[in-house]
Amino acid sequence: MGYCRIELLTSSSKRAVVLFAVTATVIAVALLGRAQPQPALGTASRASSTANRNLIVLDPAHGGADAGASLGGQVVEKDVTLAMAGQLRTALAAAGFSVVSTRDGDPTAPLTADQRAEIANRARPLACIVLHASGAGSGVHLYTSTLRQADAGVEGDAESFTATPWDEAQAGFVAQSLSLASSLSAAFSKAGLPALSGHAALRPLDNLTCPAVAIEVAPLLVAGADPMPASDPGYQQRVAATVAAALRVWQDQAAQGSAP
Amino acid sequence: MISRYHRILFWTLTGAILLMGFVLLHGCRQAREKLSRQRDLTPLAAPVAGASETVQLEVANDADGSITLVDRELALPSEATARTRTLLARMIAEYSYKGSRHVLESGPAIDDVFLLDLPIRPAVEPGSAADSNSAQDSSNSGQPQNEGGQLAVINLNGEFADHHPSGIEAETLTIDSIVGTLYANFPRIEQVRFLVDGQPRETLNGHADLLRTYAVIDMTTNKSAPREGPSQ
Repeated sequence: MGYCRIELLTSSSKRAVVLFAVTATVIAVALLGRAQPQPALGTASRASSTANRNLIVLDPAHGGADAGASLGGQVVEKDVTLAMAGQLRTALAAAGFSVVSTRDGDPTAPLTADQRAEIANRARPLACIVLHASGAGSGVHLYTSTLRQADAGVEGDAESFTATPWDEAQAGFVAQSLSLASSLSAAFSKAGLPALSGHAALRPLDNLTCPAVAIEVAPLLVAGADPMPASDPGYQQRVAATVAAALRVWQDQAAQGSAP
Repeated sequence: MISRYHRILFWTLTGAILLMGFVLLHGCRQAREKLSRQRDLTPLAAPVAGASETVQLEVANDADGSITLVDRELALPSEATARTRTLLARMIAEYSYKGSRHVLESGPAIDDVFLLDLPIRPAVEPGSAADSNSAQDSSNSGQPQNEGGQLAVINLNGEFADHHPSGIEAETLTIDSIVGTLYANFPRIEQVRFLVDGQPRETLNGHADLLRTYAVIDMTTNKSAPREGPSQ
């Protein structure tokens, strides 16, 4: 009888030890998981520190059933933006950048604006370039978000953390986006391409957690000749080379701390 | 035995009857169409002579992406929503005139305008459960900047949106022009939302976001409109 009681006690002790070990393991894993750095939206400084300093995300707008603007004849915007993305990818690769594109072809079921923003945000790039083309206006139009720059929270202050709404994700990067647009505008002026800068309420610009600029390529007015359409490969090549050069300069400025 | 002469006469008369019948039917159809066209234009109420007043329009220019304030003389109805609708319709019509620097197709553009007093939602007590639930919505949409502030809901015509020139610049300038014209003429309107044919729509024609609430500000200062050269 006493032997049996000892056996029972031993068995329950073993169970308790196993139960304690399992519980401790689960708690330890949970604590370790919480200790990992969480990707947070909205705070530019946090995101900048983890950004891939050599990666550019290209977003050729439209695709599939969404053809975008008609640029005359059979030419539609989605084909022009894709062609421009190809030119820009080559120019950026030559300038030493890595490139991720949200669209490499013309899929029948294109990604939504939110999905394209998600691809860009997950890549944590140095900059995001949204490509558009138009048959109206002239030259190159550079657009940044209409959002105001969000106030930077105090680093390490847990009380200062506030969730950033998806539609205002760009707010923490507005200053950097303006700096990038400024560099691009200066580069276009230097290259002899007329450029207009402005702000636009445009998806997915407001959802991007990286310095982001939308570039709309409109026909280039040439003195004494017909306007050069946005679909012209030579024009696209000039635009691509200028953007790549501007990004290189802006990257250097950012590295030296002169850009925000 | 019927003579050849009688047979020719019979078929000739039959043909004439058919021809007259066809002409009569065609004439009736044309008359009905004419009447139905006139019915649309038939005035139902006696015209009221209204004194014209000076209004300010913020008109866009595609060439340099600017928005300029211009004065126009216009007779406006007294009722607020009809007044807003008439003014915006006049402003859009400006773009279909010869020599416009922001060319849009002529035709009806604004179906309706609704003016709603802000705040749309009741104020939430700080720290309440409802307040914590609405923490995600950090924007000030739905809340007035000043007492008596209004939200204008503009219902655009679907044909207008579908045939609007597609592009960031063209669409942004149209939106900015509407917002700026409201700012210049209706100080109580603080925010604007857009519908197309009574339904929310993602973009005007592929670019300008129509799902957001626009703050009514002066667009001639180029706060939102494109501006030349480096932006900083």
